[in-house]
Amino acid sequence: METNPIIEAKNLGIKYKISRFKRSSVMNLMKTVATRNSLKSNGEFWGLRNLNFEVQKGDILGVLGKNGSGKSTLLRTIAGIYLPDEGEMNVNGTVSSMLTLSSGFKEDLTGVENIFLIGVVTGFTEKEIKAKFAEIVEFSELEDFIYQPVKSYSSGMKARLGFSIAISLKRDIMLVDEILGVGDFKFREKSRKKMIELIKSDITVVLVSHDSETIKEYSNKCIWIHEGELKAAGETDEMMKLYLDS
Amino acid sequence: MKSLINQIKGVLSRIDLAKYLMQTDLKVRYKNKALGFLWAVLDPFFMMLIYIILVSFVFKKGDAQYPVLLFSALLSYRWFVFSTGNNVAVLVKNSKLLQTVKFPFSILVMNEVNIGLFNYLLGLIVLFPMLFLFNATFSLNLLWLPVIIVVQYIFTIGFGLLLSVAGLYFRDLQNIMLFLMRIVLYLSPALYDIALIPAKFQHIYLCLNPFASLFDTYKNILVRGLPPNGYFLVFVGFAIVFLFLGTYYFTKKEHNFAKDV
Repeated sequence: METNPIIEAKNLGIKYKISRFKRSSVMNLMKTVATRNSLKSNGEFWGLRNLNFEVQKGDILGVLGKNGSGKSTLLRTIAGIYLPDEGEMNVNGTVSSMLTLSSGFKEDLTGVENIFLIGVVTGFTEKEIKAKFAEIVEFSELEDFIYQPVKSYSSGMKARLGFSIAISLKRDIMLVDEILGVGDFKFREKSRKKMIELIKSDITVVLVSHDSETIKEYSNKCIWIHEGELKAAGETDEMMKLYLDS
Repeated sequence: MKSLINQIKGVLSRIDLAKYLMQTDLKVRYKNKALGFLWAVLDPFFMMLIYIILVSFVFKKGDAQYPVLLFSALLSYRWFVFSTGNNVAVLVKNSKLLQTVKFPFSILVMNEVNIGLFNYLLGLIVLFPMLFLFNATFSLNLLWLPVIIVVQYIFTIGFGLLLSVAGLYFRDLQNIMLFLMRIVLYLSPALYDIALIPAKFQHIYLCLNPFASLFDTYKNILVRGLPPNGYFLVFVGFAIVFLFLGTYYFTKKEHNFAKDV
């Protein structure tokens, strides 16, 4: 049963420039001129390179790797934020990302206002958000606090709201970056159940975590990225063995 | 041209986002203050008051209509300074957003211009009663006002697009712009009348400084009841050039924003 992959990376490479002038200023310019450094001597650094993998519709892909190995770069490339500098990244579906979560909140605005703001920022229309609004509020268990400014929330409450928004406003492909296991024990259990529900649906998830337990629990396929290159790819069980042995 | 059409299409496809960005920005700006939105009106009022005291009482200059002449130009200048001053830093300010979601980033630039426009329109609420008070000449030429506003809108967007990219790669520009915009005010006929410029330099002055004709036009249609003169086409020209340059440059660099902030 071979179908078109929903996400496909072909020889993908993402390049970062380590420019002396990234934070350019007059002082830097003068320093460079003074030390006679060439303006052109900028370093390059491949955040990802020669990456090949496929994700089928409905798969839950876990991405393993240490900090700085290129996991977030990969998510950003799938989300279309970075364009490949080399090779291709084909995404055949709409993407919603769980990257924003609590960092995307405006502290002065209420929970309600933030739900709508984050919703439209991540590409949903007012109408779509309204349709999901009750679900979000209910799942977050914030009750009347939803009308209070987010700055009065505890970090747990913020995380709960973030999770509820992300889980309700979703597209064909969902990108998840280190957000599972938020809130207290009860909420964690609830969000775990919700995640499992999600996995059983035909949604495709790309899950990034440096906690291998999370990946083991949710994903059926895995790729392992090491220093920007693909180290291994396969079923979660065998990948886990490889990863943990290393 | 192609990049302009694509940018417009992109913005139109996310009109909800533009609306919410503006709403939330305004809420955050005014919500927690006792006087709330009144500040948007009080702010230009106080600014004008300072200049009037300075010119009319300290320097003992300016004629009877000086306050409204000043105010009609100053409101436009405030709009430009607000939007441009914010746009030079807009990509850096929204760095987190750029790195997490993909959307037409020009909406951010447009948003700063929209908020400036909103404040401008509130300023008009203060201006109009004053026009009565100072015996301004009302005529059908007032109908030019929306046209002038649209042209200034285009000018500010185009300039903002250009500047936002420049400000991302050259951070000192934020500070430099503070000075430059101040100089623009003193070089342009907002605080003084254009007749103050020696006659033989007036032509070249009006051709080289887009703000000269802009401020003069505002004074003409709002206070003097005169239509815009031919020099306003200079400003229209600048607006169009900036719009094309801005969208071209912005579109070209847009893909790199997330990496470069």
